Amino acid sequence: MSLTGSSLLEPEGVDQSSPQSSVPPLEQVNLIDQMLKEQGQMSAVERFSQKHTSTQGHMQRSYYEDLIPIRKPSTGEQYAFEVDLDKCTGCKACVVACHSLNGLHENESWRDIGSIRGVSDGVVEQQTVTSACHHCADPACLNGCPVGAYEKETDTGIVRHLDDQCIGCQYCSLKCPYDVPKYDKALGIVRKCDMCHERLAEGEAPACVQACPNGAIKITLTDTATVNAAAKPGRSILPGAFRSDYTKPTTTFRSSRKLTDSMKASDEHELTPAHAHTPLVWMLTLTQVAVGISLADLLVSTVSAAWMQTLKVPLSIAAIVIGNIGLIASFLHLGSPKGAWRIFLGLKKSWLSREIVMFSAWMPALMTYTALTGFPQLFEWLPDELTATALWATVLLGLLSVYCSIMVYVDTQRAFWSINKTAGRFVGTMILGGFAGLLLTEMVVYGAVSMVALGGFILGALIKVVTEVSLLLPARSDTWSFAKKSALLQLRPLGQVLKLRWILLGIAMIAGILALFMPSAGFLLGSIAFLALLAGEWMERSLFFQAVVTLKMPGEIAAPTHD
Amino acid sequence: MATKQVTLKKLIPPIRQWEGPKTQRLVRTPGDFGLGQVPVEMKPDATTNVICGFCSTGCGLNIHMKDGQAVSLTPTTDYPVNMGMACPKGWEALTPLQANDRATTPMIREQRGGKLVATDWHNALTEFTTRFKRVQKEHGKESVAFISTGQIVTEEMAYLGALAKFGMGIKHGDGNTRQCMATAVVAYKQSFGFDAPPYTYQDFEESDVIVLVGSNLCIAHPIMWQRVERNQNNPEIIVIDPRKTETAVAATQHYPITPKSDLVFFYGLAKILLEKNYVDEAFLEAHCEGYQEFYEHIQKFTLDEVEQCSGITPEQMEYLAETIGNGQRVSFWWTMGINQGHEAVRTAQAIINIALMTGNIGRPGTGANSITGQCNAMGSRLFSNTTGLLGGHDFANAQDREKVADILDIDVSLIPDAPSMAYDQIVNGIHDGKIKGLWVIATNGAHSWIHQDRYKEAMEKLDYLVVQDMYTTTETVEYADLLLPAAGWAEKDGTFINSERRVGLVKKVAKAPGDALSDFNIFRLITDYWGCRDAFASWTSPEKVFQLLTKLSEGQPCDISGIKNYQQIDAQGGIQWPCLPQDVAGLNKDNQRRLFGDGRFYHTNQRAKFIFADPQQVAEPTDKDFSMILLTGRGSSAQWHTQTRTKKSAVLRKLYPQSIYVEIHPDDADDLGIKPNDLVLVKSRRAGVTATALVTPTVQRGQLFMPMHYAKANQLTMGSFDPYSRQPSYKFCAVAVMSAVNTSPS
Repeated sequence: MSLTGSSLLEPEGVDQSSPQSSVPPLEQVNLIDQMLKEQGQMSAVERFSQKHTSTQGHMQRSYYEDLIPIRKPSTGEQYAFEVDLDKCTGCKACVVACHSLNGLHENESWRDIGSIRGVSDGVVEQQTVTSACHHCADPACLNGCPVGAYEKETDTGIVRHLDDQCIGCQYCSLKCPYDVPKYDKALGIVRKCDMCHERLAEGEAPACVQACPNGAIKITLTDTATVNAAAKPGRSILPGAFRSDYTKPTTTFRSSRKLTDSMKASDEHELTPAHAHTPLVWMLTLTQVAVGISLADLLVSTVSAAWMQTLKVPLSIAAIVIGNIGLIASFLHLGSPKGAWRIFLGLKKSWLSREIVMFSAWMPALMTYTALTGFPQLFEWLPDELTATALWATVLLGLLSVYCSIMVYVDTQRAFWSINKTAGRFVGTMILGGFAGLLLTEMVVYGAVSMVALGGFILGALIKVVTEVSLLLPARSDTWSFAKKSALLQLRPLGQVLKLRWILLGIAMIAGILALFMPSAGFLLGSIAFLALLAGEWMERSLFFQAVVTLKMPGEIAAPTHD
Repeated sequence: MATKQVTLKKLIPPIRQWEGPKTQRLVRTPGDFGLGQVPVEMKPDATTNVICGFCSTGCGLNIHMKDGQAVSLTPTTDYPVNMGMACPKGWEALTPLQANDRATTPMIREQRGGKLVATDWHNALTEFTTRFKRVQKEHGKESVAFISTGQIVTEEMAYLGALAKFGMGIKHGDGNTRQCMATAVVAYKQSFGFDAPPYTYQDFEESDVIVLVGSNLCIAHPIMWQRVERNQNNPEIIVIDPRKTETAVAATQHYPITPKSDLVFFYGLAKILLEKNYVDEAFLEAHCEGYQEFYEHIQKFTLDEVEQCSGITPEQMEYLAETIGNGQRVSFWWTMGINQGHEAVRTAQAIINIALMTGNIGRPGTGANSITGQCNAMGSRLFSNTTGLLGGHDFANAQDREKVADILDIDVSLIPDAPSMAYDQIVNGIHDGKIKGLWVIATNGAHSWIHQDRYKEAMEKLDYLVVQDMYTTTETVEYADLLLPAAGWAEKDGTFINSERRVGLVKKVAKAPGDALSDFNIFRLITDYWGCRDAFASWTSPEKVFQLLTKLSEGQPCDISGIKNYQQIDAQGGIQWPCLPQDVAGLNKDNQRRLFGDGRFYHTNQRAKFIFADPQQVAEPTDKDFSMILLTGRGSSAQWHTQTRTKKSAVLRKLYPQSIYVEIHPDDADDLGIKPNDLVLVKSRRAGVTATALVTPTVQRGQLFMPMHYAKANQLTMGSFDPYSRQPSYKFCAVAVMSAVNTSPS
């Protein structure tokens, strides 16, 4: 019916006097072709005189001559950005000019704009703030990099990133309190501001300096004493920026107006979860459980060696499997794993480097111990105590690895990842997971569980519950803080994950208790309990990453996407 | 030995990898052409200047060309407008051309509600002529109208206006420029005798007092603010704006007047200037008329009255008056805060009156200066052939019609003897069943027009809607029966005229995608298919049309007969009107020219007129149910109008919130239980809109501000118009706001 309708309508739609649409007259076809051809012809270059074909140097220079130093830094000096906030009026040209003049990727720019607003001494104020890398005197990115992909140039003080050295671990992004190094998925590395060092070397201004219509951004020479003085405890480069004593940033922000701490970043209340870092969630959860299993092994062995004898082999094999999955996951996290062999280069300062080296020692120790316990007949020629020593070594290395894991996050200076909170989570997972593994193995092998194992499990569970609940309580606080923001992030945008985390823990508990009373179904219920427990820990770790407040310069208002 | 070492080096990677393919990507190299360093991959083999196609500032963008095509750009260092600077939109001007929703072929919608289907140009043009002709046959020639733009080049505007009116018998056509500067046009015409913004940007640098009214220059026109920053006179910068905008923060004085108390405010200011004896009697005597009547009119606007109405205290008013009165070179600048009001023309004239009475006009650093919105709003004012006849002429004037017919070599009877209906009257005409066919060119009314739902209903009521646009995804294209794919800025030649009357050149430096054609060539094809090619025999290229336009301008205040061709404009760095042949020689010495230096205005008696009226109430005052005032306006410098282009650049998208937000004062938020970043519901009598609350003291109590770049904003606005300019009043409507946290999805 509708078909007939439309086919009947169509002929009506065409005025009979007009040209038939199917057979265009030749001249009109020619005209269309001519237009399309004309459209494709490019002649601007030929038609318009080439004004600057032979112009040497940089025409723009007269606008920025006064905005860059006339000499190179001498000893004890370095280049630094200086921003005159009175002249930063929010046009954001610097952000796009950086993108454009440096040929950066689609939405990549090494400069960012945010704003702070509020009432300062009774006066309504808002201030836009342009910022890039602060080329810190004590760069956290450099200190955290496990492979030495950062270099603070001795002659200029510019913090350079070695793009071909970077393995894409993104730890520098977590370390930098200004959120400067940004990960580029396509390249598998981070990139950051290099202060247009090639331009500076030739007496040209960096892109942002060139492009500010108001001349708000300058390159100055600053010396160590000035930088250190500005980085005294309690000081920050701007209201809303992180305390300067952490990295000693060299950027100075000047303003003739009073910008007090009562002014807040425009994105202060924005609740957007941070990066999920899924491979790290796997890695942290599983390695901690694996270390926990060896720990449980050791502890129970000292109490009752006989009880443990049959349990050791299956437990250790489980630890190897779980631990290796975790370690492989961490490898997947790297954007450019090819250079990962350089991981030891950061040992001196980087907890990440230490963590990786430690785990690399722990796994062979665990495997050696397992081989010694599993195949004693093969190693009869070795002294007996060696097996015990191997277990001790495994546990020790494992504990050190977990300690490094904790410090990796503590070292980022984020309140949500403070030592207590992070240790509570990680050690909790280790004890809970380790003893849960032991309980399951006992259940399977003996059909009964030991009190020591049960005690360990309960201790782990307590640590976890206390830690995690304490991180939710600030949601009820009247005053705004990062702790409250993290709590709100968990309760609101991450509410589903949070719910699932506690449901899974609940399931694990119920199934575990049922298993105790129904030994016939012990294997099935125990397995369910263990898997639910692992899944719950996975959710907890996911919250750990996503509910953290990213340390950064004040951002711009950012309404989350809604209809 | 050496080779062995090399091989070894290749085999064993170094401890520190300073070189490599990823490092190589960021290497910069001298770009030549005076450019300084550029990324290696984008080193140009030629450069050429093109005028930016976003706002009316009219910046020069130096396009970096490689193999005849644009690869990148930098702001042109020696262009007199922007002096090597650009805002984010300018820097990213080439990016939106690459968007994947570009219209690459004509598209037809067989059935309303159905999909647009690709077709070829012949079919599309046949359809275009057949359908419009049928509408005209059934409902009269006047039943087809067009809505055009301030975004296309002057030659295209002129072609469209001429083709529609002289070729297709269309009587009514208007531009989206109605939304931004119609008020300034009428105000200038009535006060000065011609639509003539008198200033040059250099005036920003030469003033000692700069008064910005309803203008957030820092955000809306950052490159003009650059000129303010370059001012060496340590100027007083006065911002009159209900909001504490970025500009208000940067100013030395801010007067946060109550929305739409502006007319009373300026009359009160005039009165106190008078009382303090800051009046330039000699100037009034020699060059003005109507001052005595104005003098009597303003007597009733006492300081108490002003305070009651605007919230500005008598002391503040006195200080303001003293600042202006003691200024040697005071310039007054206004933008949309004035133009988009219910009595906008009179308000703009109230500013003009103050400039006149204090003698602040015609000298460097002075003037009553309207800052225009779109890149070619000024081109449209003179040459769009809608409200005025081509070249600033008058449809109602028989002599003007004769002149135009003569130059264009057409029958004078083809020229209508009355101007078009205004935009809002065309929309009303659709509702009333008088307009049945509409041709929309390069504008997005379904997003930008006030009281949006009513506009959308109108689109649905049309028998036939043709949209000519760069993109397939604009809100207006959704209603189109036919979509004609247009080449964009930099994909075609032509001229823009900027806010300071500077004619600048746009060049084809990028290839249009697929079968998209320049609007100019689309008009040529339509000329042919419509069957009126005889009247347009000489309209063969943009440059030929430009030369026609210079002839049409002869003898007018906007006379540009001194401009011979495009090369001249390019070489000169743009040329301001007027430019008579005898002016050309002086351009090399001074390319910053202003009007009225001789005190002679364009009325026949050469005097400027004082025009004034009693203030009227806004169309929709606040009341118990809708107690808040909604203001709309520019959100950020990275956004342009309805965002059809700016949202196509990833780096621009980073610079503004992705979803609509509304600014609310902390005390109002507290009272209403609204927390920062909560979802709120903003309701007007027309619609309800959910938005994120931005709690900020920069808006006053009782007021809300919503950026216009999000389509939902205009669902709320109220369709009221200035009676003289027919410009919509976007700056005032009554709304209510409430928390929407409990109704929010997550």
